[in-house]
Amino acid sequence: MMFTNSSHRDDESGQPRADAYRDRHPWYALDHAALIYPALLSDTMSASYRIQATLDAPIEVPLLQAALDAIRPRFPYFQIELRKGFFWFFFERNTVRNAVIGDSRFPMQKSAVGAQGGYLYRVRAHANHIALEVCHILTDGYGALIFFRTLLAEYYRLQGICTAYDATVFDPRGTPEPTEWEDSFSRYADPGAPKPHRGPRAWHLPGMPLPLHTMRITTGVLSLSATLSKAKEYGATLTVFLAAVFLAALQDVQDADPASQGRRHRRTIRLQLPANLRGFFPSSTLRNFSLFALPEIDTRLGHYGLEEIITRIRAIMALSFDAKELKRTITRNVMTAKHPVIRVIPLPIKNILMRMIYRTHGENMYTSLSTNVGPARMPSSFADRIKRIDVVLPSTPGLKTVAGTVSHGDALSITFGSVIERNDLERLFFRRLVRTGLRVKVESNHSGRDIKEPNHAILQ
Amino acid sequence: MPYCSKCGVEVEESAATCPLCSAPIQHLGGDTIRDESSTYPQHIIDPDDAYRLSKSERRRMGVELLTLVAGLATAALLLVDMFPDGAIGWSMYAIGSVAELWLLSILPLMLAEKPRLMVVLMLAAILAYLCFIDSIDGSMSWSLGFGAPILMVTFIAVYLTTVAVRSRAIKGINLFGIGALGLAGYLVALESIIRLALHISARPYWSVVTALVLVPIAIFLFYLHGRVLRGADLRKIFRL
Repeated sequence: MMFTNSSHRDDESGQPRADAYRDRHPWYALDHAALIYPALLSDTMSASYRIQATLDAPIEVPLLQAALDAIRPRFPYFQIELRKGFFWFFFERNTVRNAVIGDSRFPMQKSAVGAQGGYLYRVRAHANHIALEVCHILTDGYGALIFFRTLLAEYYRLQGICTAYDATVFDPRGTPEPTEWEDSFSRYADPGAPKPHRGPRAWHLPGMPLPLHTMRITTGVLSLSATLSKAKEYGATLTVFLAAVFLAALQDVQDADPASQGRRHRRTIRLQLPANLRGFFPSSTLRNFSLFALPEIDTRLGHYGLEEIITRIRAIMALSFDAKELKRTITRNVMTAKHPVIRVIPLPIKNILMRMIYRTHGENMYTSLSTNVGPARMPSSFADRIKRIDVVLPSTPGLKTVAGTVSHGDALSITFGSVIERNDLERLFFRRLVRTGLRVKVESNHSGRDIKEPNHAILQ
Repeated sequence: MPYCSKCGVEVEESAATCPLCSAPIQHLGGDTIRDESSTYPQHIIDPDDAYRLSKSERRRMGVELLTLVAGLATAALLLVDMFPDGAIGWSMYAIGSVAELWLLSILPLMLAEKPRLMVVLMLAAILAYLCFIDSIDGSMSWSLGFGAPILMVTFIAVYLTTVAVRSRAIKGINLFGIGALGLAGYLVALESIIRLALHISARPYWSVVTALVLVPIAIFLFYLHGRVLRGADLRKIFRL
């Protein structure tokens, strides 16, 4: 397996369509969800997430590189680098070749996002695994999945397996539509709408951090049909059922936390559940267009059972994922960025402010994050060549352990990303699933022997 | 499929311990099977350093940039000064200051690995700057009488205070005490130098008054540190 490490300009490679887009769109503004991320990038926060596929055969890297080179012109709005303006960051056309790189034991670490020639996504290969790591500045899971499907379709096309192109798998020889790079947040903002209510600070997971540039990834694989049946038994959807088990596991960790003993020392446990806004507001953008619901349990009121949590999550999600409510948050985000006073603040000062806002209005508000991408919807032409799809989310010093769920065929993958030594949350989550009668197969990039911090005895 | 008897989850064929609870996994077939196709490799290649400069490269680039800026500023000042009558006048002060700033900014970059040599050279650079500025008008009036002794005393006071601070095994409120003692000694020496240079009585006055205030404060802080706090977290001691 060979990887190319050198980068070279590919202007001379002769892509008339790509050249046309280079001229018409030499730069892009960041969308309103992406604005805050560049200010947060650091050694402890890469803001990158990862979609990975386990194939039935080892990856042919030259073929994967050829597939990547072939599909790049179809996604001109991803072939960019992040640059600093005087007032805002912006994207500029990047003509450096994006090489497929090898994988690492600790993926999703800080990459050369801010450097000249640095891309905001990376394609990685290892054994029979292909991974796409995408910085959230670039796009959300919807856009990344379309790019990933198109990459896999082209990879298999080069192996002789042809795929029918549609709205979920793009034809690499097709022409990009302007709506694919629109900022849909701006389109759906409703100036004058009242601001959303901001709740109190949430409880945060305790735990000593893992060494810098390392993270623990723990994946549990279940049968999708069995888990769906189990969710139905509880009268819930898969998303609600998994979120409820997650909240219940968080409650278990809080119960065992010595600093949270006694009603007065407890804080609300709040989970961030992202949702694709394209289901609520028509949009075909491949940039960020997602918001979230914040189901919570106030454990000062007493211990919540799984059924009670399911009832709460169902109610909160129904209230949150309402077009009018969503418009409140969209409007708040867009109008804040459009405020004349905010606009004229120079970028270095704005960065400091954005870091503060992220802490007060972002990380401090949630205990953790769990996203359910749903079915990966791989084209039938090569779906059976893929054994499993995983989604890995970035944990940060604030959101120490987070989870991403995706399914492919009957394989439901739940992957935890964590930057703390203790793994109580993962253990309690999967043990809870096992107790409901589900079979779970668990694997991790971090050997159990690596854990140095003692977990609290009650959770053993 | 092997599984963890504690957690109830299935694990990979190659797993020796449970990824969740570290409990050893019993394999019916004896030894664990080495699985070459695990999802993540064992090697680490992140963070991505492809576009990053090393520290020494960054320092060298910093020295280049600072030298270029200082050179351009010097040339501009000289030309502006010479423009009206072709003579060099006020620009000597400005150029001297630019040269001093340049030296003080590049020395930490060039001698980051040799901090002692860096401090000595910075001291020499400041002394040379004071003498240069003093000598521009043709006479040495204040640089040797005031400038050099005050500079030396300042350096010695900072050095001794730093040594005292670093020598403390338990650091806490005692550091403020050391700072107060250092400041008292410095002020006494400063007043003595000023009096000697002005040829008046060498016996210090106002600095002694200040020292008489600072020394009891330092003693109180040492007492508080040694007898009460002992390096303890103040939030713990004064928790409401």
